[in-house]
Amino acid sequence: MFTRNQSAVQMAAVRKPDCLMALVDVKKAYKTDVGDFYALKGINIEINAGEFVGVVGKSGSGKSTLINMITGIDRPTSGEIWVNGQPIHGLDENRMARWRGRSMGVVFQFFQLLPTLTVVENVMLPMDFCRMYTPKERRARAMDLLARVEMVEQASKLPSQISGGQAQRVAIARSLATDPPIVMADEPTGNLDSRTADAVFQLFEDLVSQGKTFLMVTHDNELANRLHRVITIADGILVSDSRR
Amino acid sequence: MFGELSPRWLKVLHDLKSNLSRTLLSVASIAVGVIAFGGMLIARNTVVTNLDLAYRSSDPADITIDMMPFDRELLRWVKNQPGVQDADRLSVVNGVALRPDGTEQDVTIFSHDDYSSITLNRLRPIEGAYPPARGDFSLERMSLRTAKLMRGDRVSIRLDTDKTYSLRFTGSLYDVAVPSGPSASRWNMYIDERTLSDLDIDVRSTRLIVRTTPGLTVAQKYALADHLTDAFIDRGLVIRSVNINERGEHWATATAGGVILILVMVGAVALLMSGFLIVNVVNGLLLSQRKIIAIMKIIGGDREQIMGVYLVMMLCLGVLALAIAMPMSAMLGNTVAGFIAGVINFDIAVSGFTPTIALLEIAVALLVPVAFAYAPIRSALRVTAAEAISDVTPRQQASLTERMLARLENLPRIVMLALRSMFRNQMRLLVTMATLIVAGSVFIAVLNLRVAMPKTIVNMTGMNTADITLTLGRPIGRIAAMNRAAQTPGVAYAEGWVATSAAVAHADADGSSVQLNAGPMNSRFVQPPMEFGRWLSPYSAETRDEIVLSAGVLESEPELKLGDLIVLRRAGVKHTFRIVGFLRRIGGPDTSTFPAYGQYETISRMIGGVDLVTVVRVQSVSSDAALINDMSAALRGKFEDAGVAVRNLQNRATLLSNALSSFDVIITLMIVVSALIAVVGGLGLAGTMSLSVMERTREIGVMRAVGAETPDLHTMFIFEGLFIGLLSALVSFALSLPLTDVIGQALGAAVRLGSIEVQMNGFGYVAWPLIVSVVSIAASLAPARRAGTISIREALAYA
Ligand SMILES: Nc1ncnc2c1ncn2[C@@H]1O[C@H](COP(=O)(O)OP(=O)(O)OP(=O)(O)O)[C@@H](O)[C@H]1O
Ligand SMILES: [Mg+2]
Repeated sequence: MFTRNQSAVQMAAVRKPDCLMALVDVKKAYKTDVGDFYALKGINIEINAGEFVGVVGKSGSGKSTLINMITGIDRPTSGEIWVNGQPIHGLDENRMARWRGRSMGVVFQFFQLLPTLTVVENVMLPMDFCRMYTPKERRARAMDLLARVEMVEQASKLPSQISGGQAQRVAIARSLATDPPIVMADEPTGNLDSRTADAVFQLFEDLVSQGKTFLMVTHDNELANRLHRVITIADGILVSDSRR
Repeated sequence: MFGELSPRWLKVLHDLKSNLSRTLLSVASIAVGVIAFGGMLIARNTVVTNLDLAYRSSDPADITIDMMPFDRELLRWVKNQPGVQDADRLSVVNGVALRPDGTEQDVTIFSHDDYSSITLNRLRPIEGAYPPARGDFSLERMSLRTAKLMRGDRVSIRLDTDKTYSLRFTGSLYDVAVPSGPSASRWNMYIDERTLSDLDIDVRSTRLIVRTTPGLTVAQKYALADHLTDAFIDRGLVIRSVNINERGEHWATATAGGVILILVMVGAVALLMSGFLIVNVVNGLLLSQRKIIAIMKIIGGDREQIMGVYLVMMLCLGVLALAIAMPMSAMLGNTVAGFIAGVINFDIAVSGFTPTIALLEIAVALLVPVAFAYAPIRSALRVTAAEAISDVTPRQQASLTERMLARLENLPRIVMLALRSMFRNQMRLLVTMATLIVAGSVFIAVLNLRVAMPKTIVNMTGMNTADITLTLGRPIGRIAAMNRAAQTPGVAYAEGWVATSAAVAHADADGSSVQLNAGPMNSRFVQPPMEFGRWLSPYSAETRDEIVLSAGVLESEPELKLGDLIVLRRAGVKHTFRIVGFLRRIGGPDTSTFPAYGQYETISRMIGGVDLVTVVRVQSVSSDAALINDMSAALRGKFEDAGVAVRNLQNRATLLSNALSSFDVIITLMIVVSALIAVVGGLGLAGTMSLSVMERTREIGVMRAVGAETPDLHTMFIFEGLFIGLLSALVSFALSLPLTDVIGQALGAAVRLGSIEVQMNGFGYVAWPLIVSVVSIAASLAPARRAGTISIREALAYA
């Protein structure tokens, strides 16, 4: 672990990318009964600050795997991932967690709220872990974020008492809790009706215009058309990267 | 109310609240351990403190000398001797009381000339009149418990003189100095000096009690006792017995201390078991929170923070458990101490629940869950977020047991499923079984010991199986002694023995003291339990210096071995013996004199001549207790009439039954303890079963979907519980054997009987499987019922 970190730092001295995020020949193999299965087969991407990037591709093409690599939830089998000058692939899980809490908001595809905490408490939790804001400010801020996703009324409900789409919106609010400069979202609008999806998308666009960087996986072509940049993945390979 | 708490601590509280049954199970698991451990500590402290308090507050004497009636002037002389702080006197007479229902009861009658001036071994009035008036008597309160007399009842008393007198019962009192209650088969009666003369008994006292000056060593106490008895003998008084309280403690202190120490150890085991139960529950909790842990990591919770969440949860459980355990342990401790106090006969005046024990309970209640949960939490945190959130769980290699089970195709399907799931989580299975196994092995071992006990006591007396043993005040000729015994009605057979004390002589000083015995070559009263070597050979010029020693002597004389020469000094004269054997050690570690056996001809000559006898061993024509009692009195009379004082008269049956009844008290306590562990085991099993139901929610849904009915599910889970229970019983069988040995050693030391011989007892081996079955089924009922209520919808919603 230690030597790995060290080599990462040495590499940083040699070729530290000057963009916000960079993936260098990232491969990811899953162990299966019939041998290694490569979900990512050598991905190279660079993303600059303030970009609003969409990732599209068929089911099973490797989109979630890619997001997990960038968020540091999972490790690449080979290759390098740089975020904000940090070699993510070299961090251990614990440091990764601390770093991620402050610098990256995450919305999972199969989002999970903590079932025994209320909606607002779920949104406050990342601020608690990252020791940001005073306890009073936390609640106010959480309510403010819930207002942005139209969930204020449900603030004191338990996750089991709200719908799937509502829970997804809470997860989005939670991903913004620590005001991270980067947000990674895996199909954040998948469960939402078009009106609500539109509102959420609007929120994202506002945040991007305030300087945040967004990367989201989506199946919604209409939404994809409104993005700055769309990356298409097929069978673990980047097949197109179109900017407008 | 929790508004100010941060969300992660809220999570702890909500988690505790949201799964109440799991919380209660954990709290109960911790509490049981703390209750058992703390309770036993409290019991120990309570007993030790109050026993000592009762002893000290009676102004105890530490030398007791029984002898022929002596005058008041002798007491004055004794009080003036150096080393004597105070002395007092009383009369002790043995008799038989005729109960209202016509049965007989042995009584010891104590008489004081002035109850208001007792300065040693003080008595405390309990109920009714005190002191007893002329013609009345008081009973020791423990004797009253079995006597069931009402004040004013008259009781007939028969004395050795065969005359019968009628006395009135008027009150009860408490006497710390004499054993009474279950361990004493006699009633203790207290009468006035005038009543004593009404009974036609010499009013002069027969018992002298002495309190030595504080700070005397044991050796100095013995020297003082020797000084006093020598003086008495010079005045023509015959000494019957001398008792020295070496350590200055209540007569039950050592035994009670030993027994309670065992209880405390078992309490500690229960605590350990409850720790293992926590491991079970925590593992279940962490398994169900796999994804939740992953989410916390992803939104920025570092390892220490998440660990904190779960450790604080454990602390909360500990605090809850403590709230239950504190008062309950006090209750348990007081109950156990009360039970022991009732058996030994002392009052509980001060609580043994000291701040130290309270602090210890707090520490243990908080530390045990945290300490035992630490490793499971750490390993749960090692699972990466990626592993946790991907639904693809790594496929496990089928274990050996699973593969073996797969072959048992012909079993009923439900039984098959129960068996398979039982082995699914082998670690948990082991932990659950461990508690039941401990409970079972202790239970069986204790029952084994109960059976082994009479045999051990027989062994203890294996060197003397005579019904009555008389120790004479001075040596007399063997033929005369045998004739006197033979003339006594009821005597079937008698042997003349010699006994004398001697010390192992070293070059510089004397070593251990030994009681040197010798009797007829083919004695009917001896079945020597040899440890190694052999018994004495027939007397000849070559064998006349043979000696057999108790192995106990090796403790203080470790260099002795078979074939060695050993020099014994008796009355200043040295004799050399050759060691041919060692007897199994009988008696606990504090026995200070060890028995040794030599040739009759040799020892007799050592004490002054040919064919001398100082001990008469007698076999009765029947084992009837009344007959043996009559015979004892008649024998004593026969010798005393001839001017030979009887220093000591031992009745074997009384000896045995006393030893057994005090042992039964211990056995009862041990069975209570194994029941306690069985309760812990039941709790553990209930926990395991409910985890098993929880983990298989999906599976249950699927079984339901393919047509399993509620009774099928009930059967499946109850079978699973029952299998675990019975499997544990099998292991208990195996473990009970060495455990019988271990507990036997400890108990033997506690009750000073030496080691107890292991013996199998069918009863324990039949009873335990039945008990464990009941416990297992009871523990599985609730989880099985829960399984029966799981609907398909609920099962599929389960993440
Ligand atoms: N833990 C795992 N073990 C083995 N194979 C996996 C694992 N996770 C994903 N895969 C495989 O990797 C490939 C990519 O999966 P991934 O979840 O990234 O797809 P996706 O593009 O997000 O699909 P969807 O749009 O359905 O969410 C799939 O073929 C999937 O079966
Ligand atoms: Mg996906």
